[in-house]
Amino acid sequence: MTPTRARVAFPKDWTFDLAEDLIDGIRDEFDPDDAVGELAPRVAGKPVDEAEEAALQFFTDYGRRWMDRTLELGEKYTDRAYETLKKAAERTGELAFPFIPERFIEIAYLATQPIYSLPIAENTVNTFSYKMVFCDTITALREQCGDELADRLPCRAGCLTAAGRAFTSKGFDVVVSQDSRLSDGEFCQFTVRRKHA
Amino acid sequence: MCRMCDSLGGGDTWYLNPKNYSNRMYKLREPGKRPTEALGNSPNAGAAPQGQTRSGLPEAIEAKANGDLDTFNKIIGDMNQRALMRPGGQVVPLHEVMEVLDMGMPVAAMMCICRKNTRACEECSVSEYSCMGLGTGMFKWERWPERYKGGVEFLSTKQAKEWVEYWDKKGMMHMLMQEGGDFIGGLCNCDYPDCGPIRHRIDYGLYAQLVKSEYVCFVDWEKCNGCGDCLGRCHYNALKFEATMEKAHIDQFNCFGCGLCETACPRDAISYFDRKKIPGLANVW
Amino acid sequence: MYPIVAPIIKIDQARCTTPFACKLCLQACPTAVFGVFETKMIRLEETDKHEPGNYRLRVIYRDRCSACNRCVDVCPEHALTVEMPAGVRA
Ligand code: SF4
Ligand code: SF4
Ligand code: SF4
Repeated sequence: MTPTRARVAFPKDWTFDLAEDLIDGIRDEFDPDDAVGELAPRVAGKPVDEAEEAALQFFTDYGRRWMDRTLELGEKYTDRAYETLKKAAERTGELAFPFIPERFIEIAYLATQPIYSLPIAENTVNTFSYKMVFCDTITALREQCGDELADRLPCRAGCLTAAGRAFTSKGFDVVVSQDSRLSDGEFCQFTVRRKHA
Repeated sequence: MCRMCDSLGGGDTWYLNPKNYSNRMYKLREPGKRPTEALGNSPNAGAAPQGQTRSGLPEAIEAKANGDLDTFNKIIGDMNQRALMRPGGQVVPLHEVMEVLDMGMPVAAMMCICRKNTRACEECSVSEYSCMGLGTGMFKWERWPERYKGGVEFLSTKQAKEWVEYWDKKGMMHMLMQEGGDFIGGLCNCDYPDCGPIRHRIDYGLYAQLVKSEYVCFVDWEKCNGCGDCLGRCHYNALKFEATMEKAHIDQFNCFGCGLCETACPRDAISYFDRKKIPGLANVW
Repeated sequence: MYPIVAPIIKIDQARCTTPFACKLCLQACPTAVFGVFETKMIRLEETDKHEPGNYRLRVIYRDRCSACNRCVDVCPEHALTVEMPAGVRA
């Protein structure tokens, strides 16, 4: 008959959710409202191309700092899902792309945007793609800079930089693109593709 | 087109669309919500709430067992209607399972829940696991050790392919199962009678739980020499030996297109045909 | 399909207490009539199959029972009876 096997029971304090301190820590520093509040005076009254240039620099820097902090805190506050993922990636030699960077991208958005989960459009062997349907950054830009200017400012630079950084910091060579824009339609979609040597 | 391709295929076969395997890893709990501590499966699960009559499979089977075929047919008819709106599974032949595995989603071999429930099977290691969980949700399997009794094992694409081939050789057909609305969460290796969906379809006519594959198989009688290697592989009463012709014979209406007979034939006498291109079978799912 | 009346299968739950560990009838039945289900599923904990009452044996596919009595014969606890309903000639 079937062999008997020890019955498993895992420690009751194992957690599979993201730590509250992790989410709060990132939220405090990178609240989109505050970020836009910092940017708005710098673009106010400027000609559009100068405003665009200033915003590009601002968001690129914001995206970099935002993801760097997420990577730092995300490693500090781990959870069982991440531990299992790392073990599985080590065992199979495959799953690190895209799932390890995906974790940090999810954390970055969950901490700062009004969403409970990040809609993933694709996570496969060479591609990672996600959507932002509700974005506080564009809302804040519209409120603080006016609709017309808001739609021209390249807030995408923040998302593109952050997404790219999540992958490069884990050793992946990727190209990130924006496939659709919230200001033109229903959502922003960003896609990370692996570059092959 | 089967109903899943209709709603989820995006113009293609639904299970070849990577979108249907993509899933987030995390969600934030709404304020005040705690994780579930226990899932009920009480002895009375399935009993009708006060003042209502239930009409699910247990009631249908009870009616049939008592000789009341009218009630049985009515309940099954209602269930089929309701099931059209629900997720289901589809038979997928080996070569397409390989394509699916190439997408590189997390795959973890695990125990088969149907076999656990029908035969009290305990599968405790990768050489015994006969089912496979797909997607990022598998990273959280430890939440429910009873659901994943015997543990799980994450496999590389190559290992996963070998693992499916192993079960194919053993004579299990493959199906992809939806979990929730638009997410394919399971790759099962199934046989009759252990597998719930196969059994429910064949024995009770619940056709929406398990959809036939995109293919149907035919025997080329020029090539078939009647060796019989394919016989015994079919779980759907479609494959027979025709004694007068001394050839294998497939009933195209019974055939689910699982391809088990195809993978067993040493002479390439059995081949797949696209179900949608055969007018009389195009709507037979 | 013509109406056939299926046998009545009775499980004495007081005798069959640890079906997932025993599993003899589940594996003996030619048509897999039985099912076994955990009565509770607890977070982070596997259900103990040796603890009485943690699993429950149920008759799932009664219409497929032939009253061959193989299950009755293997049960060490004499927990099962399979009989044709009264008035049905064997
Ligand atoms: S005839 Fe062959 S392809 Fe068709 S269901 Fe049977 S084994 Fe599968
Ligand atoms: S009497 Fe035979 S067919 Fe009926 S449940 Fe027992 S073993 Fe199965
Ligand atoms: S053989 Fe008897 S004791 Fe064992 S599971 Fe079946 S009914 Fe219960």
